Amino acid sequence: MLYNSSNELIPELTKDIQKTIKLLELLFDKCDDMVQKRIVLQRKPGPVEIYIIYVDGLTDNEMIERTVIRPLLWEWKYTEKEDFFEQVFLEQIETVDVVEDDNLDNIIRCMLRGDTAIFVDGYAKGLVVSSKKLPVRSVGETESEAVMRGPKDSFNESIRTSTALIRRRIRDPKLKVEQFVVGQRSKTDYAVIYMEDLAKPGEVQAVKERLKAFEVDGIFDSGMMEHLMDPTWYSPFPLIQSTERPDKVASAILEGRVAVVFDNSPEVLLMPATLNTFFQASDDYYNRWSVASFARILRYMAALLAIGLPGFYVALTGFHTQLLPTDLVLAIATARSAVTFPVVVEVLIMELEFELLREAGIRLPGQMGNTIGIVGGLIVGQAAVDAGIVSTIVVIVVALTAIASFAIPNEVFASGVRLLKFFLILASAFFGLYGFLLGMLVIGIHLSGLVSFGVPYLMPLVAGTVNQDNDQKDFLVRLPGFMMKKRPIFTRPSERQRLRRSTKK
Amino acid sequence: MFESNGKISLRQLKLLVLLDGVGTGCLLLPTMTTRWGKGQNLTALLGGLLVTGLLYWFYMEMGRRKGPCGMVSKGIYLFRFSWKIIFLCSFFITLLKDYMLPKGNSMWMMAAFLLVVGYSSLRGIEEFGRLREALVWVVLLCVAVMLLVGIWRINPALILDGKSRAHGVSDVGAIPAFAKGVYGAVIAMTPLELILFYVPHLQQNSKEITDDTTWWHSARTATLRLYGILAGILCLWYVLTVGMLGIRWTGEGFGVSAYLVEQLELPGGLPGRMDVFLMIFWVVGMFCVISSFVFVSLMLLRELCPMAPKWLVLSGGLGILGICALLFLGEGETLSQVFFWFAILDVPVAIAQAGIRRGSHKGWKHKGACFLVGVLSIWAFTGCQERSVDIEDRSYVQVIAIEPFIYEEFGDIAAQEEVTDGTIADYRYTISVTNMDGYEVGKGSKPPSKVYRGMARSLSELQTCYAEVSDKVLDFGHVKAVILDESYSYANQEAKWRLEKLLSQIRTEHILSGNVRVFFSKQAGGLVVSDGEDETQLGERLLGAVRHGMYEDTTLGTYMVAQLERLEEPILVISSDGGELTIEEYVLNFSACE
Repeated sequence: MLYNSSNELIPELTKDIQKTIKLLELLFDKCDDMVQKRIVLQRKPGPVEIYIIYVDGLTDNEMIERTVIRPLLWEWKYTEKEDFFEQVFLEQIETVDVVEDDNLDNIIRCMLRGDTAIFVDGYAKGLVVSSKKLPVRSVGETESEAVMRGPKDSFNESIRTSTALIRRRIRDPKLKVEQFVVGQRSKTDYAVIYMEDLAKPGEVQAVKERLKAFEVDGIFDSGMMEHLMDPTWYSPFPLIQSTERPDKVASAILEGRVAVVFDNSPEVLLMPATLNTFFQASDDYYNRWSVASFARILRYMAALLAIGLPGFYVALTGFHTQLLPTDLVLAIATARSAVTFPVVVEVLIMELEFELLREAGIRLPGQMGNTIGIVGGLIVGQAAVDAGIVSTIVVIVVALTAIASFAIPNEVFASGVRLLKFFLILASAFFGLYGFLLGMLVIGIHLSGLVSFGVPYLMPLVAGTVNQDNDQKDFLVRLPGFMMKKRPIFTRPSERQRLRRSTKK
Repeated sequence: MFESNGKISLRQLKLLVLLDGVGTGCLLLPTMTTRWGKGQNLTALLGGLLVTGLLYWFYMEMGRRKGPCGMVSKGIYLFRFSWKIIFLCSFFITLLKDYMLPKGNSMWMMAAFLLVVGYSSLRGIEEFGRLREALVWVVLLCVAVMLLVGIWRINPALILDGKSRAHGVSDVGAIPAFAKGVYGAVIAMTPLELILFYVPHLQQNSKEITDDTTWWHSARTATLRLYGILAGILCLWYVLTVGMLGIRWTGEGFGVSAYLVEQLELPGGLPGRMDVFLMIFWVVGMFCVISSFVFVSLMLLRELCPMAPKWLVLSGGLGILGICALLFLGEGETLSQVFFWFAILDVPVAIAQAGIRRGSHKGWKHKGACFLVGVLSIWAFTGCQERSVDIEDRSYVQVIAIEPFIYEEFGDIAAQEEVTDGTIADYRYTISVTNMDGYEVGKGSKPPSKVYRGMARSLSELQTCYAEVSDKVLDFGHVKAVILDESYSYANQEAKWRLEKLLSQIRTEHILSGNVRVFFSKQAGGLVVSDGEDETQLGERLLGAVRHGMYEDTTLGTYMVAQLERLEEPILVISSDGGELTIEEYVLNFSACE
């Protein structure tokens, strides 16, 4: 029995290196990617054996050769010192990033992350040399959150690159990066990042507790942990924001929010999140305030269209034609005269076709994705109209809805909106505008009940006075920078001032 | 971090009361005040608002000083609030039944509404407060649009009401008017009592309130300020309603807001009727008020009897079974009033209670099943989905000519042919409907029309008659003109009686918009039939009549108001060439134009 129920290694390190080697060989039996090396060094009482082990592919071989193997094999100095371990540790290994550890489970975990473990005969402890060289892609341009103006870099799958991109933007020792491990088998690293003086202590603690609330086999993307942390599993709205933009994360951290970076995931989680944060794009703060405000209002309108336009169309054409101008009614009626299906079925067919195209477009490689868009959007759409399956007006409605949903900066949030559109279509099909309104009310009630780490989701539309309405300055309208002197509600109350006139000459 | 401590801020309390006040006040205040105040309406209004202001202040102080009520008081309040819920629900059902489209089964539409109310009311006070903060903008936007659009159409004479008193509305005197106005206003502002139960949940927020003394000072100032805003909105609404409808018509019934909205039209006339704003306002306003009462009632119920919510769920389940059984047996229409009210109130709330109660996630499958049963039963029994008629399956009525059907004129044999369902029809309708066959959009021509003539007692009956000759449904939402027979404009008593009967019939059906223009002609039906025959379109001829000073902006709605407001006077007074002419003279004028 080598492991306990928490998948932690039970045997401990002993002074007898032969036992350690046997144990490691047992543990890594049939693991051909392990590289093991035994070295015998001479010293006064007699030769001593050293055992080096690391994982091929995760480790920088050259660095190990240069800083560990060569100094030990070729530059070894005969010694009479009693503490041989200290000599190896302090003098021979030519790297700074080396630590000693007496917990075998920890050492193995580090080794599996790309570090190199060194065991010395006669000592019940080992050395861990940081030698990671993980196969990661380089820092590239963000694809899902592109901006016209502003930095273009994005996070990648390496936790260290991600934390570096944040640290590069906030060169302040108060930026804290606390690293933990999650996943009994995956042993995924994650880091909780926050400003020590800005983030509310209770909030940081709540984030840490939520992260540790589950024991799970493996976490392969931040999305998996996001869903585990979300108490409102039934809600289509995300209560945790995810982004791949380092500037957005840095900005959020400076507002007192907490970021969680996961290894193997290019998406960083931001907590707390409100409805408003999902409508804020990075370039809002790089463009002039008037342009940014216009874009912000446009996005809110787009969300309303994305959620309600098809339902509203169903209600109008099925129940309340008197609300449309007569000419438009006649135009729609004429367009629909050749269509076999009722309006609601027609709308559902087109909406599902759009979702299908979107899904197919994502799965296919770049050029093929474009082709699917053209084939689906133009050819199939036109053919469907010609065949009398759908009318031209519905194509326009669905296209407008699709465009509106793409205007929402956050894809996760936009997906929730897209889902709710079907709820409103059905409500409108049963009750007309009355059903549409009841549906909107249900969504409103649901939204008013959501709370993200203690902050109401509808903030600052609700409870705006708590922060003296300062959050309103970055809500529907993004006021000029010099007016936004206070940090938002996420920051601890004593540290809300973020802008003041400089007294330096 | 915000604490989940079951507290609301002062701002949230203010908005709770504001929305409740606006919700009922705008719907009830004009009616109640004018009904009771009669000629002294302004005295009644001001007196009513003054006294409700004092009442408001009194409730605030009571809530602050006394804290939670005793058990007996809670029981009394529970009974009182339950009664108010029933009153407001019956009022809302009337609105649904009469004015709201589609005209489905209003009881089940109400059930769907109450399901949403239950969903909201079973949440905590914090969520309740937050929702009001979000909804206040929706309600205020609707009120603002209606005020902005309608403020220009106010007739000050109708508010001051000099003419009204001169024509038969008795002056009750200042003191009785004051007393009755107070009574009306208090009824309209009925949710004020809820303050008693909101105040104990008030968060003594350090940012707003520093100590007990300033808390009271702050609360009192805020309360008075809030009451000022509320009273301002209600006064404006009152002025709008009475200024457009007159005192007598305003006091006629609960549907005043509907008639008021029919007088309004957005610039450009895009929404021919303001059903959207009306619906938003009614649904959101009534939702706020009813859910407030349900929320507080449930709170009291839990305090009085902790087991009560479980009984509620149990009785709701039995209610569902009972309704299903009765509907299955075809006895749905004969449900007794008691059982109906029990079912309509309890079932949706019970479903929400069982299905969406917060807390643990245990038994969510059971809760989901409860919720699904509720939604599906509403879907199945509402019948609303059957009311949906696709846009291309409608015949759009452009013009309606209404003539009286005089039995004797046709003789026995002809009369038999003109009769529907074995009963004698009262009116001969001639309608011009769009004929979509072969019509192509974008050719610059108007769609061809066809004429249908039928005998019926009402427009609804006409729809039934039309269904026998066409597979399409008549849509009266785009009617441009109503041409009444000239005989309705005669000054004799019989003609007036017939006209009043006809207008009442149109009014109660709620099929024709109040914005439709009204014309008179000797041969109303003939005009419609001859449309386009001599290369002169009917529309052009009607427009020609307008250019010749036939009338100014007289619509069915204003005509109805004028008709019922001033029965003693010539019905329609229209200015032309600086003088005033009666409708008879205009009929002659119109004939001359032809």
